[in-house]
Amino acid sequence: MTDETPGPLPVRLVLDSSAIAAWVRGSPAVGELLAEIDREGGLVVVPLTCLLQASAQIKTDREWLYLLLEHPATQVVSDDPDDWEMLSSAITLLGAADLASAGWLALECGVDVLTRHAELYAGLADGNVALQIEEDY
Amino acid sequence: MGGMTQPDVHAPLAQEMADRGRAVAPEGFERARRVLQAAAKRRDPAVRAAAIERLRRPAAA
Repeated sequence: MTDETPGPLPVRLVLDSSAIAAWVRGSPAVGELLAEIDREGGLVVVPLTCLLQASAQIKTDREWLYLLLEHPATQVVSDDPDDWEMLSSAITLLGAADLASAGWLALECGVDVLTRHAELYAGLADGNVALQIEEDY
Repeated sequence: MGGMTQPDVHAPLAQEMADRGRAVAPEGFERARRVLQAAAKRRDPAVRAAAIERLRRPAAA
């Protein structure tokens, strides 16, 4: 046992509302990505806005939400009030606060947003922020 | 999605997920690694930097 505090884990992915919902429904792709990122010692960001949006629509299997939040690779992140102008601009581009929050965090962290609807991010960085969930395997 | 989760990865959660039929098979880790590597290659830093700048200065966009 040492007094060393582990450094912050490197962010590898951001989940948007649709990815959270996909996890709750048992998406193998989301589960595999979480497991692999955990194995690599990385972090998956769950934007609070996306969690709220997804949670409000999930009526069954809500225990999977808790499992997601307890997952060692996930961390819920709130929007930074200092980012209000960027987030506002992102809402203008994408049309929804949860998409904007996920998109901005992905840009800020230099990673992708895992989503079932990559087309919704076309207005941000020419869609270069979205990683489509592929379930065809 | 059968098989066992890596045994040394947070055993209680891994066991719970295995019990619920969501353990990740070895090939699942490999598949996820390929997806993450491909995504990293697709990222265009210049496009992303421009997008960040556009968000920071909406009036100038």
